[in-house]
This record gives sequence, C-alpha cells and structure tokens, in this order.
Amino acid sequence: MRIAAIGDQTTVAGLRLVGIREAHVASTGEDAERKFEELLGAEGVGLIVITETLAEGMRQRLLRFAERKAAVPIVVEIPDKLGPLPKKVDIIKKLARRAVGVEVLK
Amino acid sequence: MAVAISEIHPTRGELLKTLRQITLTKRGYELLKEKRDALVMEFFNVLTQLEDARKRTYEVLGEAYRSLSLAMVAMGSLEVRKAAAATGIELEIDIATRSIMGVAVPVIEAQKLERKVTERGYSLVQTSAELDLAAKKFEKALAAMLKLAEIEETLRLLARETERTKRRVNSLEHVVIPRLETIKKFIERHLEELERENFFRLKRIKAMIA
Repeated sequence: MRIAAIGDQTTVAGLRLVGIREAHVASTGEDAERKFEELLGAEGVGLIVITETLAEGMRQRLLRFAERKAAVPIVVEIPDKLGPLPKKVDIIKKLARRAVGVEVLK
Repeated sequence: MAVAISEIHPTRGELLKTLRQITLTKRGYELLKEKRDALVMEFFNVLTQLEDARKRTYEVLGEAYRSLSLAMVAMGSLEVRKAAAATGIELEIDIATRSIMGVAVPVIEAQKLERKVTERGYSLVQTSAELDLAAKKFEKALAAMLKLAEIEETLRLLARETERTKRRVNSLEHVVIPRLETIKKFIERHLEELERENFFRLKRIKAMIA
C-alpha cells in the first residue's frame, strides 16, 4: 500500500524525498479536507500523514473519521516545521476517556 | 427475548427453561466482564508506549526539518522542491494485523525505507550533500511516524472494543438478567398459588366428605 500526505510545502518536500509520491500541499483546513476526501476515495492508500496545523483546521472531519469501521487508511498527525502544537483535542485522549471512564493522559 | 409477562406460560417446564437461561446468561456476563477488564489492561499497556513514540517522532522529525532548512539554504528552496518532486521509487508499506484479545490491530511495515542516494530519484549533480542528509533524516522520521501511527491506531481500536464490551456488560447486568429474574419470580409465584389452591381444595373436599 501507499502512503499519502497532506502538509505545507516544507513537510511535503521532506516526505517526497523519502518516496511518498502522493504528498499534497494544502494551505487551509478546507483545502486539506478536500484533499483528504480525495485520498479516501483513492485506491491503495494505507496511511495518510497530516500536519497538525492542517489537522486542527479539519478537526470535526477527523473526529468523525475516528469512528469509522474500515481498517485502512490509518491517519497520523505529525508536527510541521514549527514543532508540535499544544493539542486542543487529542483524539486518543478522547477515546480513552470514553472507554475507560477516567482521564488517562495529561 | 422481549416477551410481556402476560404472554408467559407459568408452567414448571417454562420455569426450568428460565432457570437454565439465567445460569447461561450469568456465565456469559462473567466472561464478558473479564474480557472488558483484560481489554482495559491491554489499553494501558499500549498507552505506555504512546508517550515515547510521540516524543521520538517529534525529535527525529524536528531534526529532519532542520536538515531540510540547511539544504534549502545551501541550494535554494526551489531547487530542493524540484529535487523532492523527483521522488524516485514509490515507497510501499505493508499493513498486516495481529490480534490483541480478539481485536485485529495493525502492524505497519515499510519495504525498503532506507534508500541509497542513487535510488532517491533526484539528480546528484544539481543537489548538495545537505539534501542527502535531509533525506536520510526524513527516512528516520518516517520510521518513527509509522510506529506512532501503529500505536495510535491500536489504541483507537482497543478503545472502541472496550466501549462495545462495556455496553454489552451493562445491558446484561441492567436489562437482560433482571428481566429473566422477573420472569422466574412470576412463574414461581404462580406455581405456588396453584399449589395453595389445590391444597385448599383438598381440605374442602375432605371436610365435605367427613
């Protein structure tokens, strides 16, 4: 399977260097969301890498995506060149709270 | 399952059936409770790896970005982007699954993550050594990302299964078992009532004969 990515120009350049051909540049959350939908429709995409800044701009869509049944694609968020964001919504944290019933991550 | 009390035949056979059902349901309930607890434990197990995986991804990715900026300084960002666009051989990953407590969780493996300079697709003549270094760093960063993706996805799936199991445990505990108990009580009372009627009838007849 292939890896796809949505990010700013720097991130995309970096990922292209390691052989991720389907790395798309997006500038806004809406832009990223459009690319994201396209990638969901594409055949053979196993992993979608998104920069945190853009992910934050399409948070609702990603939250909905976290409820899905299908095994692939998997989505992973990575920091852009400015470093990790202090997360407002951590999907894992949210799921954990619902499943276990207690706060598990700081 | 959802029968109204009035539709139940209060017979001994029905009582036995209900009693059997109660035993079975209670056993299932215990098993599900154990499954839920085991899932929660697995969840915490994997959770301890999450913090490390995140930190590692942040670290190596930060380094990769720094190298890339250096390459951009050395050869200009346009040239870097041009070189990157060459991509070379597409990177393939395999997503297999393994099972944790019956939950299929992914195992991501990259085929040939680290490539030789000549396999990266860009022209060696027009690029600088900094770019090679940046590419190498990004390969390392990608490995960390794949690990992180694997762990996050595993947690997501475990959380979902835990939630589902919890819901089933609750429904057994608060709906199914109480309903069976009510049916059992209803039949028992009815049978007792019949018994008393019969007893009384016998006494009456005895009194009439005597």
